[in-house]
Amino acid sequence: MKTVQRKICLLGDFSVGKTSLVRQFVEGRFDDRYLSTIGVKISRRQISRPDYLLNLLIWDLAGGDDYDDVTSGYLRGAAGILMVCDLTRPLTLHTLRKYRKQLDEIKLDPVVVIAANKVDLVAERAVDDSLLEELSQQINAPYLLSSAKTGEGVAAAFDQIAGLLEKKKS
Amino acid sequence: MSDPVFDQEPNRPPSPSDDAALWADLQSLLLAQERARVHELEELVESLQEEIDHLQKQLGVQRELVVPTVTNSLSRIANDAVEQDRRGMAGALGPIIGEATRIQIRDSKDEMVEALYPIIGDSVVRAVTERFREFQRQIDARIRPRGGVLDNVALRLRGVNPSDVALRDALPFEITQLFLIQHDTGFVLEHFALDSSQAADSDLISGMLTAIRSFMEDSFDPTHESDEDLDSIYHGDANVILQSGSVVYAAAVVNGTEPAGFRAALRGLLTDLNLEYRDDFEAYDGDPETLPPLEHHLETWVEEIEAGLSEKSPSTDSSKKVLTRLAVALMVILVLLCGFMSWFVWRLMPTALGLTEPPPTVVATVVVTATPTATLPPTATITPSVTPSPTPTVTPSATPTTTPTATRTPTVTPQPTGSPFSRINGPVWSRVVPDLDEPPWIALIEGTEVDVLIVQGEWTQIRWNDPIVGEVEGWVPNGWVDLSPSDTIGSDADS
Ligand SMILES: Nc1nc2c(ncn2[C@@H]2O[C@H](COP(=O)(O)OP(=O)(O)OP(=O)(O)O)[C@@H](O)[C@H]2O)c(=O)[nH]1
Ligand SMILES: [Mg+2]
Repeated sequence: MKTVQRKICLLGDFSVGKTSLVRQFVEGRFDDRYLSTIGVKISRRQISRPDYLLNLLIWDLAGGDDYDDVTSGYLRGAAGILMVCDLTRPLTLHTLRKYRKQLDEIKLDPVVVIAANKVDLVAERAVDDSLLEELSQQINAPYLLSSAKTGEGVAAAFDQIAGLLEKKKS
Repeated sequence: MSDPVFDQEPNRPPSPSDDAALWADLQSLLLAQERARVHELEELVESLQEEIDHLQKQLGVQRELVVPTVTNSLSRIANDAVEQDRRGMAGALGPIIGEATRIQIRDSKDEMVEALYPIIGDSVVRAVTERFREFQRQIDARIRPRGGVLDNVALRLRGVNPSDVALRDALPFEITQLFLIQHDTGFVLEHFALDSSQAADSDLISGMLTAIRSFMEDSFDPTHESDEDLDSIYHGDANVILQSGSVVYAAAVVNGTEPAGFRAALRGLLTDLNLEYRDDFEAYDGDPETLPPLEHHLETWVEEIEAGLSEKSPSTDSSKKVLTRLAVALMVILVLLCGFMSWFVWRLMPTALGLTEPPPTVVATVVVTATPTATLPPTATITPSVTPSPTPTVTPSATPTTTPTATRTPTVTPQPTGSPFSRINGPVWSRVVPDLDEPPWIALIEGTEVDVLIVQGEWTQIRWNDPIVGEVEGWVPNGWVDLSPSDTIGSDADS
């Protein structure tokens, strides 16, 4: 069976849980501590698709409400982007709208999926589904609810990117 | 201390018997306390002596048990003291430690060396590595480009001692990994590792290298004006040497000091690969079906480089060898000198004789009768015999050469040449014959002025002036020379 490689980047505001999602997906664990990512960290995980193996090279970028030249340099060659927002902080949804605009400006057209993260924090949730629907339509990307803590929706997010990549290629 | 009772004069002289008894009573009355105290103290001394004896005995028997306890306490005390008065402690201990160290070194040198090696050894290794790197840079800056028989002469002319170069070439060097990486994605297109276990993480390493390059580029050259790239990353003795191509870049992880010309060779490798696979490299999207068939290209290259190094390493040049080289070098200089003289005379000749350029679309054989005296007769006869050029689109210019001997009739053989001073548009290896399978010969840098001699299929034959070897001819793939359309002979050179 052949192995295909793809570069996937994670984008989103500070502390929305990008690193935690990657950690959960790659190492299967969660850490309560917050260590803000500086620059970029690259991890890898192979997943099985119906007729091939997919080697995902995952670029976890430093978070922010905007991105600069350096970030756009890291995005070059990305086939897919997982945009992450935090269900307890409505402003982090707005950040994703900015990112979408900037992606269009630098003429990148990767596959995009939104992970609305920290769904386990039920009591603190401040974003309802209708806001997510709206965001999804605005930036033209499907969304799913995830929790880096419980693992809910984590593998599904990457699977969805893989599926969209296949669809795009065919 | 004086006691008032004893110092006083008695009022009447006492009888001797009275005196003794009284004296004894008085003494026991007055000194009872002191006596008891003395006795107590004597007992204390005795018991302390016993204790000391006991401790001394213990110290002898259980030295190893006592030492840690004492050491701990001492170091605690020392720590406290240092914290309270750092300067004072330093002042107080400095001379003692200095003296102790001196004595220790004198008395047990080997032990000291062993104890200090882990601390000092690393620093020394680092310093030496750094020194050698500096040495390598200095030498390289003065000897590049190299190649050819004139090495030693050229080096001397540039003030470089050939033995320094020999030493520089003999420094240990090893390529442990070599990556061929796609620029944007950081995907590994091919990877070579001396130790195959290193292959597992090659994609993560190449990803991080790509991120670092990208970071450096976007941070220090955000407008992408300069074509400078990150070209090496140092980590202790290991070193990553990066060489950038248009779509892919190469990263060599090496140990030790890179040999002269290593970067040029790496660039040559990239040039070759680019020439053959550029489109495939660009099209590669992570799907192995789009990966060009590189077939251990890197491994072969590493083997070639290493074979070249072992041939070259520790110079055992006998004086005979050196002499032969010198002789060859001298001969080449003589030939060059003659060439220059003829050129000089040739350049003066037309002016002196009032010659005009021959018609542009013919190959001309010009027979010139000339005398070498400074005053040339104005009646020199020129007999041009015209032969049609085999390649009629070229614009040849007559290049007559004359010999300065008076009695000879110089024959001038012109060659079809393109317009002078075309330029190389990027770093490229020249080859002796127009064949990619032939080993690279001399590296040409961007902007080198060349004469285009002929274009044959995918290849252009050029002539240029190499700073060391002098005027040479060689072949480069078409795209590397900026050709104006009139230079082209039966080929669609893409420039
Ligand atoms: N309860 C809960 N906490 C989470 C979840 N995901 C992340 N966190 C916590 O949120 C904090 C930030 O997580 P990170 O993964 O470091 O966030 P980040 O997006 O990588 O942050 P930057 O690197 O600064 O951009 C950490 O304390 C995590 O433990 C989640 O799904 N649920
Ligand atoms: Mg992070």
